[in-house]
This record gives sequence, structure tokens and C-alpha cells, in this order.
Amino acid sequence: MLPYYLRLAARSLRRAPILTALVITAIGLGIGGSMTVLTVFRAMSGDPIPGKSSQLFVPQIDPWGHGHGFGDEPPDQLSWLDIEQLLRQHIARRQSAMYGVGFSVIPQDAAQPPFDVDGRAVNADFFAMFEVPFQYGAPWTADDDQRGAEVVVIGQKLNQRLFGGADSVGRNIVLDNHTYRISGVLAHWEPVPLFYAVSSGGAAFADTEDVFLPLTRAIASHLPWQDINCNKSSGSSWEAHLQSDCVWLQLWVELPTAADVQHYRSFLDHYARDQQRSGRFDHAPNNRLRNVREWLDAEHVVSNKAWIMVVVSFSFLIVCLINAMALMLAKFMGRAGEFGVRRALGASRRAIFWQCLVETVVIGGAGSILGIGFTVLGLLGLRATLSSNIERLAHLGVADVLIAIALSLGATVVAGLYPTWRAAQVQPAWQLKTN
Amino acid sequence: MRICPIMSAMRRNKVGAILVALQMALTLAILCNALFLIHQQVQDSHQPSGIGDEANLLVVSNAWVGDPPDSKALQLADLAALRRMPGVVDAYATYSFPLGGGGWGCSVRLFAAQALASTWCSTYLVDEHAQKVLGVRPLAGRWFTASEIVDRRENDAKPPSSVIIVTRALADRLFPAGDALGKTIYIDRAAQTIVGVIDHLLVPNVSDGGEDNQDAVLQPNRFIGHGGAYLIRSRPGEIDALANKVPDVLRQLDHARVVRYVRTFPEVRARAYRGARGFAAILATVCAIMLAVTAFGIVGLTSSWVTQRRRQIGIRRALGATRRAIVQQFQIENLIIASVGCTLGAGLAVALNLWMVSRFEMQRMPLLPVLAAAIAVLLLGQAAVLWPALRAAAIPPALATRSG
Repeated sequence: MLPYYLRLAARSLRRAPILTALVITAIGLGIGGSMTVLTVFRAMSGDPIPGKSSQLFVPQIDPWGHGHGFGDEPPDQLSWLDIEQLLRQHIARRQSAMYGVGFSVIPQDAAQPPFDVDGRAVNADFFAMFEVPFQYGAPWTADDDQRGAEVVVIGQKLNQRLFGGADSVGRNIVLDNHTYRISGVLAHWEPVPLFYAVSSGGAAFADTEDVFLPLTRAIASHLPWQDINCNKSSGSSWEAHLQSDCVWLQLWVELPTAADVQHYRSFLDHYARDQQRSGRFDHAPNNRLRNVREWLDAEHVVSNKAWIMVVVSFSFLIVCLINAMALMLAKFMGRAGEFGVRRALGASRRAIFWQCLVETVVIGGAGSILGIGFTVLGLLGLRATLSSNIERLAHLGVADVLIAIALSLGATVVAGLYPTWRAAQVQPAWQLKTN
Repeated sequence: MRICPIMSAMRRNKVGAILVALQMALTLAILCNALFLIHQQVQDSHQPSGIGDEANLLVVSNAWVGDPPDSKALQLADLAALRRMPGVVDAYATYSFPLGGGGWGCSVRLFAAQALASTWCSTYLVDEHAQKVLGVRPLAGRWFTASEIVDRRENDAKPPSSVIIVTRALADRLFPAGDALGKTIYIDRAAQTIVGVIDHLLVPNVSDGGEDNQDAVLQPNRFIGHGGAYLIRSRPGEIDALANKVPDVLRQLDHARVVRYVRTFPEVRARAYRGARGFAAILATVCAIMLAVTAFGIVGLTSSWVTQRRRQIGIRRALGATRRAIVQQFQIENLIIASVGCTLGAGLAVALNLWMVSRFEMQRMPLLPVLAAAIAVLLLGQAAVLWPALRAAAIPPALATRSG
């Protein structure tokens, strides 16, 4: 029966072209609007490190006590005093403290002007913990970490710019008048969001840093921080800075099992209690230990504006569907005569129902194709109106296309259910009489 | 005009009428919330920056390679060269500037021993040239003198100077009586005397509808550090030529630097509000499309109702109803449906707003946008129904005499 119903559907859609076009356009626009927003939203709220996001944790310790601008929350960064202690204890399977730095790169060709790159001072564990892929070479060693060796790992883009993409392992790079040896070059690695760099309002959708260097080297070289929060003024010297309660570093730890997490939690608690006992903290422990997803939520990586757009776009989809439902109802009711004739000739209610349902699915299919077209247009529009960071978010993946098709078919069938049911209720005799 | 035929026609199309009313209700609810959000975003992006004649202010972001020990001498040489350039009125060096991002936050206390800060502020480092460059005039008090300017390095947490200029917003918050001038307050726990009050100066990082967007504190400090910005006041009409020449002039003085960017202040402003304006543009687009969908939906639906009711309309015409009466029948029918929809929609709109207030830190919506959107939806319905209604009016009375 299906080919017959499809033929009937095609004929009926052709017979009322304007009404059909209105229904399909309404569904297409609704799908286009909601999918445009959903595509960006899914990228924003996506898992940046699938498979491991539940094992990676950010410890937070409150060194200040209540009322210092963060409410009940501890600050989202740590002081050097606390970082030093936590690193020394080495409770986690892997751990890396870090902070963002900036460099001027001096090209070997002296005629070329220096240029700025973003960097990050990390521990060697960073690469294994975050499963960072390498194109050439490898991370520096634990020994390099100990010594504060002048060694770096550089990103693919910087390697392209400086060495034309060749294997640059073992070569030197001059950053801010210091020469560093390159131990590795990253392969393409762009976590979205850039989960480890979002603290203190850091750009969650920025590019991965171009340079990574040992934290010990950065501290020894007095590389300035990019973001710092202090509850009271410290002295101006680097030593005073390190000894202050100012927070400017982040810590990530890998805790594979629930027992490890529990263990680390009690470790943090003990640590804060010790600090309280020694008089450094004047308040009860106020710690957090969040995994990647909890951390991204706490840092509000998905902005309120993004949430509002989701609400608006899905309300818009509902408007479009109510619209389509009313039009389909009018369309089917306008053909009550036809259904009456078919019923009189022996077609069952079920047959009429299926005929209308097939027609609805055809409409939904056409709507989904149009909807994907509108989604592509919408994403292009978003790229044109929003900041450049949106580019990595506004990508239509295979999953998004499948969601669009499923959403369109599902929504159209739901919207078409009542009109279809009404069509199946047509009384043959009554229709034949009045016409 | 009698309501009876309209009501009986609607009763026969109950579900259709309910669907249209629902659609109009939802359209209204989204429309007024979106209008309210758009209004807020646009209002935010038009906040006065406090800078006079923004079009002739140039911002040059500069960073030395490494942290040269003689960066003060380098900076002074840069400034001297910049001030000598034709087309330059004046220039100064700083760490942050309005809408430029980054910057230094500061705490404000009214008393030295106060445990918690009274409020938070943003620090701007300025010198005696900055007044001319920024184009600001103190509302009360004075600007800094050359002898008050002291050096400040990146690591200096405490301000090395003891006088400040504050914005009116901050002055009024701290001293509602309006007697801020001459008072001593504690910025980052250092005693500072207010010597001047300026009208406006936006902070580097503005927030949505933030009441603290104007809470700036100016300190008479020369910023000495690795990176910073030169703000240059250009003569009218010469800013583009200046923007092209500045990087070369600076690089000729000293090659070991990175000129990160050269932007006019309008460019700075556009970048700072790109997100807000983009958000407003997206909302406006969605609303426009939604209104079009609703309007075409009403056209399509009413047209099909006209087709269904051809015989009844023919009979009414044959019984003496005028064309105008037929048009009015559809207009009033739509008005009734739209009124029900708008009543429902107004309630829905307020509920949606209240939910967004609690969930997304949005502000409470006044009734004006609801009213405006309701009128828009009513007019939209009337406009959409006109064409099918005119088609209905064209149905000849003779139709009634023919059998269907």
C-alpha cells in the first residue's frame, strides 16, 4: 500500500501547492531556527575530553574565608603556597598545576618582527593526563620538571609558522630573549571548550596555547601571570608574590576510581584543617573537587545568553509546529469529500489514517531538508554577527544533521497526529450527502 | 454587525481557532521578551564611555620583548615621538582603558579597619596628558598635576600615590549626599583622597546591565611594565593616516617590541559590544521570521476557511449581506481569536519573564513591551486576514442558487 499512499500524498501536495508550501516552510524555518541554536549549544556544552572527563578533577581551596567577592564559593584559582603543598604530596595518579603566560617569539630571520603567542606553564603530566596527541617528539621528562629545564612543547600552528611544519624536535626557539629547546610538537588538539583554561573568565572557546613550558621554569624565570586575584596587598617582589595568598594558578588531578576521589577529598579536607590549625586560614575548610562537567557548569561556560537563545528558538519551533498543525488540519478537512468517497468505496478508517500519516511524513521529510538548508544559513549568519570564537562552535556535524531529520519527522508527525485522526473520523454517508 | 454568524462559524472550526489563538499567544510571549532583551542590549551598547569625541582617539597596544629594565626610558621616548607626529594632539601610556578588556580590579573601603569591601572598582592609570587625550572634564575638583605622577610597576599591589579622581557613579554610591570631593577613601587598603569627580568613564570589562560599569578610579601613575597601551588623541580627519604610520614610527625607535594592534576607539567599542549586538540581531531575526510564519499561517488558514464556507458566504450575500459585511465577518473573527490569544499570551509572557529572571538573572520586564507586542500581534492578524477576507467578499451571491 505504501507506494499507493506515496502517490496519493504527492498528488494531494501538488493539488494545494500554496498550503503545502506554507506547511513545509513553517516546519523548515522552525527546524532551521532551533537547529542553528542547538548546534552551537551542543558544541558549547559538549564534552571536551570524552572518556576521561569523569576522572579529571579541579581541587579548589578557600584561602580567604567568607566575604571576599566569591560568595560561598572558594576562588577558582589557587595560591602558589597551596599549589606547592598539594604538588609535593602527589596523592593523585597524575597531576599538573598550571598558569597562562604570554611570550614574544623572536623569529630566526631578524628581518621578521617579533610576534606574540599565548603559552601555558604546566607539569610534564599535563600531556599524559589530557591525552594530548603529539605530531613530533614527546613531552619533557619529570627530570626536566625537577630541574626547571629550558624546554618547550610547541603547537602545530607555531611549528608551521616558524619551521614550515618540519620536525623541529631538538631545535631552539627564542621566547622573550630566552632560548628554549623544543622537545615536542603537538598534533591538532583543540578541546572545545578549552576546559583547563576557563577559570577567572578565561576564554572558553579560544585556541589552544602555542607554547607549553615547565611550571618550574616559568616560576624560576619570574614569568608574569595573566590573571590574579588578591584579598590583600602583598609586597612587590617575586618572592613576596609567591608567599602571598593571591590566587593565580590552577591544579588538575587525575583520579581514576571513586575511592581515589574520596581519598583526595579527605586529603584536601585535612590540608585545609592543618592550615586552619597553623593559623594561616581563619575559617573552616571550604573546598571543592569538581570533575570536568561540574567544573564547566560552575564556571558558567554556557552563558545565560546561550540558554536564552535555546529557550527562544525552541519556543519558535513550537510556534511553527502549531502553525503547521492548523494548516494541515485545514488541508485534510478541505479534502473531507475525497476521504468520504474513499470510505464509501470500502477504505477502512485505518487506511485513511495511514494515508494521511504517510502524507505527514512526506511533509516532515521535505521540512527537514529545508530545515537543514536554513540551519546552514543560520550558522553562516551567526559567524557573521558574533565574535570569531563562534567559528569552532558553528559547525554542522553528522550528528546535528541526524538530529535535525529526527526532530523534523518527529515534530511533524506529532503535529500531524490530530489532523490525521480527524481525517480518519470522516463519515462517508454524511460527506456524500452534502456534496 | 452581528456576532452570531461569526460565533457559529468558529464553533464549527473550534480546533483551528484554538490553534491560531495558541500560536498568537506564544508569538506574543516570545516577541515581548525578545523586544525587552533587545532593548537592554542596545541600551547597554550605547552607554556613554566618558571619552569625548571617540572617533578621534587611537589605541595602540604595545609589548616589549621580555621585560627590559629600561622600559620607562623606552616608553618616554615612544611618547615623545608620538606627540611629535603631525596630526597628534596628545598621547599617554596606560595599562587599561574603557572597553579594552583586562584591567585591574580594586576594592573600595570607607574606613581603614573595614573588613569587607564597600564596593569594587576598576583602576585606570593616567598622567597629566590623559585629560586632553580622553577628552574628559572634571565635574568637580581638578585633574592631576605633573608633579603628582609617580611610577607604578605591574607587581605593585598598593597604589604609590595618594590622590584619585572618581566617576560620578562611584562618588554618588559612596557619598549619596554628593560631598565626595576632598574625602579620603581606601583603595586596596591604601588611603586615597578624592581630588576630582568626572561624569562617566566605562570600566574595561562591561557586564550586561551591570550597575558597576561606570565604577572607575583614576590614579596618577605612570605604568611601567612589559605590555601596555598608548592612547593617542588625533586631530579631526587625520586618524586613519596616523593609524597607518604609528607602528612604523614605534618600530624605528626600538625593534624589540610587538605592536599587537592599532584600533580607533569606535573599533574598540564595536569589539566590546559585538556579542551584545550580535545577540540582539539574532533575537530580532528570529522574531521577524516568527511574525512572518504567524502571518502567513493566518493567511493560509483563513483562505482555506473561505473555501470551505463558499456556500454559506454566497447565501449570506444572496440574503442581502454587503461585501463589507463579509470582510468584517472575517476581521472580527480574527479579532476575537487574537484577543483571546493576546490575553493568554500576556500571561504567558510574564510567566516566561519571571522564569528567566529566576533562572538566567534577567531583569523584570515592565508592561510596556507586553502592550506593544500585543498591539503588534493584533495588527498583524488584521493585516493577514485582509486578503482572504477580500477574496471571500468577491464570492458572488449567485453561488447560493447553484447546488454544490
